[in-house]
Amino acid sequence: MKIIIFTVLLLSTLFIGSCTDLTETVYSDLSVDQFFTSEQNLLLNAGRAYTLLQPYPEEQKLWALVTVSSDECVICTLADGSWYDGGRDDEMKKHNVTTSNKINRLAWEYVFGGIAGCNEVLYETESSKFNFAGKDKIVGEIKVLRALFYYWGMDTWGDIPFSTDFTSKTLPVKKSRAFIYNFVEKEIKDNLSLLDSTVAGTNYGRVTKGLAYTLLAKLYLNANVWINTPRWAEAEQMCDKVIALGQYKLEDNYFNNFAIKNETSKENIFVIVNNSLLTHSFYWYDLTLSPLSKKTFATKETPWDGYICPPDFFNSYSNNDLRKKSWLYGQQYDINGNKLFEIAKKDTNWFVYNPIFPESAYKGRNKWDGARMIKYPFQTDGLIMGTLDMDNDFVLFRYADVVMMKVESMMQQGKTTEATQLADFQKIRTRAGMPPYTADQLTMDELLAERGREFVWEGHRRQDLIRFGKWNNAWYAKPVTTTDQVFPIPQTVLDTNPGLAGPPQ
Amino acid sequence: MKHNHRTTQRKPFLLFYCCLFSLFFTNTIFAQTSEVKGVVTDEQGNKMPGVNVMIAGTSNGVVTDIDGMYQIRVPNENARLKFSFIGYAIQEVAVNRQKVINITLTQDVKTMDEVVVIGYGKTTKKEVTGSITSLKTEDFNQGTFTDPAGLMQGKVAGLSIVNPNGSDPQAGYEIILRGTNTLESGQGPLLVIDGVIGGDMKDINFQEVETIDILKDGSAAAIYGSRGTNGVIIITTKRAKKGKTTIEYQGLVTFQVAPRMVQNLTAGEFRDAITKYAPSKSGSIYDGNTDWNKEVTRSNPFSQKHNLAISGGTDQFSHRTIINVEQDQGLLKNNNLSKILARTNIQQKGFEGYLTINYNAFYSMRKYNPADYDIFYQAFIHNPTEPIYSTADPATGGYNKVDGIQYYNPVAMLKEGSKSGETNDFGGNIRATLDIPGVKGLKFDNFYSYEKSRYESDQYLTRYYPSIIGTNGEASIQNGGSYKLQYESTLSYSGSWNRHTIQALAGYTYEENGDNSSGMTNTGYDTDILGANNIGLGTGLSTGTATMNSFREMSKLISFFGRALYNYDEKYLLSASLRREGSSRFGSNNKWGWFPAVSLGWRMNKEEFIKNIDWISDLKLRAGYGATGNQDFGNYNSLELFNVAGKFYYNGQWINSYKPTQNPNPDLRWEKKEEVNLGVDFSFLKNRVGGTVDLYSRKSTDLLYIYNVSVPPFVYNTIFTNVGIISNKGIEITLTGVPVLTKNFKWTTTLTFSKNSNILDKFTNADFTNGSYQVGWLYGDITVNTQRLQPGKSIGTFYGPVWLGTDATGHDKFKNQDSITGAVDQTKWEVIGHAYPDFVLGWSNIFTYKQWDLGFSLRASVGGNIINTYRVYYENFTIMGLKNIVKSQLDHPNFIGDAAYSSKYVEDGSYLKLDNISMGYNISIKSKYISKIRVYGAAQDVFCLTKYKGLNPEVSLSGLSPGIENLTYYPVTTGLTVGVNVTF
Repeated sequence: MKIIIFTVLLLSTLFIGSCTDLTETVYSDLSVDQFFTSEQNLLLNAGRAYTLLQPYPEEQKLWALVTVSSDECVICTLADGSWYDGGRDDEMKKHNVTTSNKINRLAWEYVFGGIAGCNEVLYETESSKFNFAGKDKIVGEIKVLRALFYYWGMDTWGDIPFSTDFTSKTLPVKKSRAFIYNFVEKEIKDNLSLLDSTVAGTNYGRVTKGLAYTLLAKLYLNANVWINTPRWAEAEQMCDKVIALGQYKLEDNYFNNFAIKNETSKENIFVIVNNSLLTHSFYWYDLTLSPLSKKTFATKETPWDGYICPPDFFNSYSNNDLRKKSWLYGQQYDINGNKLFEIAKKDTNWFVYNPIFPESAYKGRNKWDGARMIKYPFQTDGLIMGTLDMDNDFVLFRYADVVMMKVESMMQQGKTTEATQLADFQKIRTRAGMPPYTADQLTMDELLAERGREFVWEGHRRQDLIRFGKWNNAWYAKPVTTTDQVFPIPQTVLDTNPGLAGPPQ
Repeated sequence: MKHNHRTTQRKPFLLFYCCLFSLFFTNTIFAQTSEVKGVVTDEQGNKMPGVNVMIAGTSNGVVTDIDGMYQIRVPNENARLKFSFIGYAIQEVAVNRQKVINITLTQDVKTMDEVVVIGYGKTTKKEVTGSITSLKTEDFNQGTFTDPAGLMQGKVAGLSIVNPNGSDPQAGYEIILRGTNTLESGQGPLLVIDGVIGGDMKDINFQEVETIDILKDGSAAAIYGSRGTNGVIIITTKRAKKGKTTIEYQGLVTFQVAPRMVQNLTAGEFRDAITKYAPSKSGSIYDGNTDWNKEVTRSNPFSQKHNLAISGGTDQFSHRTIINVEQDQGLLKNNNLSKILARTNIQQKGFEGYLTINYNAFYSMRKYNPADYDIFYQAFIHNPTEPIYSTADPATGGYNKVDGIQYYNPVAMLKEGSKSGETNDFGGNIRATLDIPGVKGLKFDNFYSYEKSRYESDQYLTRYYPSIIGTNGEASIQNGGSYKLQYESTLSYSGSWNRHTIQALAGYTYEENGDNSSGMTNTGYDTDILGANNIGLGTGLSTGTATMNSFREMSKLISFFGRALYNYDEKYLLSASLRREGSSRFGSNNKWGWFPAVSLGWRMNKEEFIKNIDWISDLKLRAGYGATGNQDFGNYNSLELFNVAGKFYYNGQWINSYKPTQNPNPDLRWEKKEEVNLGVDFSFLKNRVGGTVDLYSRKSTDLLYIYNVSVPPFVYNTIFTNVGIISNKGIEITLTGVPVLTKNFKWTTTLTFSKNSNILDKFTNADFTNGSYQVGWLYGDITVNTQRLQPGKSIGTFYGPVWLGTDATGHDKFKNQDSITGAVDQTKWEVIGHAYPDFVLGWSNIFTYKQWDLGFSLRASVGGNIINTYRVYYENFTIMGLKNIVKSQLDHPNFIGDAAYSSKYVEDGSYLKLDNISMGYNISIKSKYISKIRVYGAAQDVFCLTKYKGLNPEVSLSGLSPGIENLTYYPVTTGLTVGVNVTF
């Protein structure tokens, strides 16, 4: 009897134990329901739109694509074969970018990842039950930020997929460049009123009216290329809107804009804020310096020796032009001022960056060939760790550009003389140690060259070359080309959304 | 107190029943009983204690004593006595009128009555209908192994066990059964150790393994449902046994000799090569003569293992307890491992024998100084004319330092970096089995197991560690642990009537697994003396470079299952099972899956038309179908989760931003594999020759993979989801035989053959249209994917430029070469190799002569290709200078081109290996205290015949990048072992 009772008890555990609850506990991440429980968290998610902006100047993102494909930068293959990288940099240089090009793909992923991220943030913010003062402004900022990503997408690839609805899971369809153009214009105008007019410490690095008007100015400046309709007058008006904000002025020293602590610049309109410990996307030390320069800047990591100044671009500077100091060239010294040698044991081989090198060096240059970019000064306190992340905030748009855009649109409207009378315009010249332009000197070609010197490696050169009709010209390591002005949609993107191979809808 | 009370109360009843029972029984047989006695000996004439002597057809029996003597009462002269002892053939003799029956037992040639473990139960070999290989102690490889997988290497057709990490004492084996059946989920078979699902082989000592059963096909593995896709390996360790107290000691020592390192240039050859072929690099000739390989390795690494087992007890209470101690030196100078392992198994019976309780507990502690494989690589590439030491730069701490990307003095790495860790595993389980009174054959079984593992490791790199010079030391500490909870309840019935035999089972399981980890690093120390023992002293906390992290996760698995085995007259066999299983890892809509299986067997030798063919001992045809799943991948893939996305600057301060961590997939569902298996088992000439042939076809659908998706609408460009189909077809043949069997000499041989073909059928559908994925990443300076996942092709298919030779200028010539760049566009790459072998063979032999035994096993893999990455990067003069190169470049010094990936470096990876050879002697001892002594010598990894020019053709074949030999490696050595086993 006891055994039977025992058996029944044991058997019953079979059913007690029969739980079918498969709920899992998540410990180290937050579930979507746990996360969106406060205004604060809504804001933290919105901040992601700005972190999505940060990778812009990385080695293999949008900046690399538009900069290496222009005449202001070249990546040569080194004598030891490094930096050949399967020819991907050469494809950019020769305007022969294929659909499988890695940098083109990563640039695309940067732009459309940004758009998808903004869509997510906008959905979560707009549909949230939390309403608080300033929520409209956040939505406005993110919408203009998304418009900036679309502006880049349209500039770089022309006809592109379009999607603004995070909840839609259907594949986005391809829209014409004109469609995207109109969207960007309308989106900025619709949200302008929500944005801050004044510049303050509280909105540093954020979208304000200054950026919105600058972007509109860029839209109208390039309208002839993008929608086959010149809109020079509107471009000038938008520059005037920026000026009328009264928030910006030219720095007396060109290099103040790029200093390690460049947040004090009155000239920068929109920057990606960096911190050498907290952000990891701005590391020009790595891109440009030769390993031999480690001793100059007391860095621990060995730089990669890739991005250098093409000799003809270097020659575009007059020797008096202070902006030539954007480049590191000539005899190199260690941090204590001692001359550096090429190889420690051979005392005769001085380490000299040689800015002028032959076309043949494109397929096998020496590690000392080419001037190196130091417009953003490098920290020399030896505290830079790891991947050489920099503290300098990366300048996306600055007031000098607004001034020069105004000059360009005036010239296009036949107002070259008036343009030369703009004090700010001539200050750009004089602060660089150069004489002011006369109306005769100021040709379109000269303006393009001056833009090149002023905005070197700031991400505008490709757009400028196209607008000025020089994109197909020959320059260092590049023959005359007849290829498209836009880059192809990457193969991986076509594979996941085959509809993008066809014409825009 | 209550318990005692109950026990005493029951006693009178018990006594009463016993009396009644014995009275009744003795009465019936009283008149005819007679007594038989005798001695049982083995073939050598040794007396055999412990032999079971039973009256056939009853449960009455006795056991022989220490002198092999027995004495038994038999009911009548028609009775038959049955003599059995493990490892020996069962003998049955008729008593007739004999009073003395002396018996010589002969060593067993395997029979069809062997027990086979089938998961939640057992059956016999003759009744098995699935594809199952069962290995017993005598089948195992002899020698010493890092874990029990080494025991079965080459023994099981279709089970690939490779050791891609050379002689690293911490490395395990890589096990793959019947090809690659998944893309992203785990590929290793499910391990079941003494009933604990998902056990760790490191927690058992290979000397304690009694049997290994490998469930290969879907019909056999489906009872394990979700985790059966890659097969199931069931390991049973030696269990508690009744009998007198026995102490067994096993001790062995091993020396490693003949390390196989990458063949690079010596200092002399390096100087000559530069002078002769690359004079422009004379700046790289220094004054040293350094054999870097020798500098970082021990000349004869030494290991020792000791195992002590104590067992014995009564029918009511018995135990087996072992303690195992092991110390291993690695080939790399600072690489060490020591282990302590203790296990106990206790068996107790209660409730008049109706209840059997089995307790297991183990504790395992491993202390280690792990090997940094990069040191072997740095030793290989290091310029042999560089001296080891130099005082030129005080910052290097006296080591010579030449600047180069990823180029570090290996001696400095060895001496200035230290890493140590400790893992503690412990666990226990209890199994209670109740024979339900009143219903013969009905059993109720409950099993509860809990295991926990904790590890801690710390690392300290001094201020002179080459890659961190300038940071003044770097310390890191990692901690973590995991737990595994398993509850299992089954109700089983077995019975037979007339010619029908049935075994039925129903059960429920609940499992929970979880783990956590935490870590911290800091830099900038005033002194290197304290190492990582006072991590807070570093300056990294104030400069913001110190890091800290932690993580925790868990998952659950719940299932219900049932199975029925039926046979008619041991002739027609049927097995059917069904498992319903749910895993927390899947999407909310698809957590549960069904896993059915059915298999049939026909023992033709039982049919009249074969019964009389006397050379056929056994002949069975089998056919089976089974569905299994795979859930061996990360947790939480289906969920929408948020975590930190990086910092952004807001209102003048840096704050975290948050993002979704992944594209959530609420539809995530089971990856399902279906398999059909046809097999034949045969045994001829009184079991002297036997074998098994299996044909299988397996197809996995809804393949889980990280598929590319469009952004937007998705936030990220990949999603973990189910799309593709993969199939594997193959044949496996096992032949065993006893070619020679005489009184003194026996030769047992086993030959295995297996061939598998793998096809990735598709991985696109309406939503996922990406037609090809690049995999097979070649690590190092050449950033290239060497393999593609392409529908219609096998995994492991190499794509690349076709090499046509070297042109007159000394450069590579390729098919479809671009005239300007000299490269071949990736769209023009062709198939240049296949990683998987065409077939693999295993051949193992055991010879016994009197007290001597000799065993060896050979293994061959035929047809697979390997990318020799050493040659890809280091078979050219371009790289020479800063770095050393491989010796084979001197065979064709006319080549002056650069390192470039092409078919030039895709080599035939076929090999023939003598895995081990051993010889032992069993000393006959006539001692009261010692019953057995065995001494033996063994050699491991004796030789490898191959045309492959790299280091070890036994490369990893798992994952999506099979067939690539890594630049960072651990050399293979030959291990020489001597050992002794003593039983007291």
